[in-house]
Amino acid sequence: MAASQTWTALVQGAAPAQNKYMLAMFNGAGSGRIFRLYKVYIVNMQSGAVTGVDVTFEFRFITSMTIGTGTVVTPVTHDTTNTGLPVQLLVATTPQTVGDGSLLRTWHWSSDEAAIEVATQDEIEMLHTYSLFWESGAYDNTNIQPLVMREGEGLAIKCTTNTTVGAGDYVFEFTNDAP
Amino acid sequence: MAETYTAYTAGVTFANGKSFMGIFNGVGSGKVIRLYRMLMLNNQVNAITGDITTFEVWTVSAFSGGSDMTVTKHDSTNLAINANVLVQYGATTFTEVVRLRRFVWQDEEPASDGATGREWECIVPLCEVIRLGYRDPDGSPIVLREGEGVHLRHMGTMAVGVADVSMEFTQGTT
Repeated sequence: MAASQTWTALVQGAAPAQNKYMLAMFNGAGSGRIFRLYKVYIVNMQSGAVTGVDVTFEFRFITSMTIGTGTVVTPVTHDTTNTGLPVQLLVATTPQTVGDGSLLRTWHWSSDEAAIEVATQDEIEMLHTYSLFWESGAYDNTNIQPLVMREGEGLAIKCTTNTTVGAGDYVFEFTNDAP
Repeated sequence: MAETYTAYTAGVTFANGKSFMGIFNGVGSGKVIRLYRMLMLNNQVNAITGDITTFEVWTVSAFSGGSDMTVTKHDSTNLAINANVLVQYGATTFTEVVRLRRFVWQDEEPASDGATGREWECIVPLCEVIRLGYRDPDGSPIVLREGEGVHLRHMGTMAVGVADVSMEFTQGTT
């Protein structure tokens, strides 16, 4: 079976903020495509000394999204011969408006800087294996569905803590499929 | 690919002997439930005077009296969870059959820049209490036929602190 056309959306070094959507993607009406999200990473990229805090992130379905004043994120294709993504697929950091849908998971994340020769939570968050905050339907298990975004559906990582301390990379790994 | 669901509840409060989460396939559902993963996350921010406590995962032959967990379909076209399938936290009536797992838990708020068990309990890949038949096509998840269930119970007496709980399961007809 041929692999589905796969993409990575990456936001680099983003600071948290209260109610900020760190990375969001939305399958707009008319795309004619289905997007399946398999993995979500948050990687601690804070290197300069800061006074970190416990940051709470939510991962949820979203029901609407406009980019507006936000920043477009251009997903990277895993194969340069993949078909281009439809214009109706919106991927952004800090999109201007988002409609929250069902909450899937909440987690606590330390926004302190990672330091040499130390092994606290901040350092553990550097490691991609431990920065994998969502995984479903991945790879070896064909019995579990990934998270499916049909037209009018999306997914987002949202920070709910009132802090701007720290920097992280946010990653979605998803496929672009025909209905 | 089986229709898949995530059940999630934030902030389940500790109490003596409390059922923290469970799923029960009631008689008459006409469904088979397969439980692949249970997760428990130490997502609490308020300072508490915590302690070490223990949890156990049991199969159950009866289960009721709790509050419904939020169940989200992985695909919006999936069927709704059958009305005879209970997905609850805080169940007050249950009949335990077989113990599947035990673990120790640090009930204490995590601290930024910490490196103790309470911080590890925030790292999602480290918080899978049950992971069966996942990435292992030769292994089976926990299969719940009608009249069968599984729950996670707090075995200690701690009555402070909270935790988030989650289950990933499929619903099918066979």
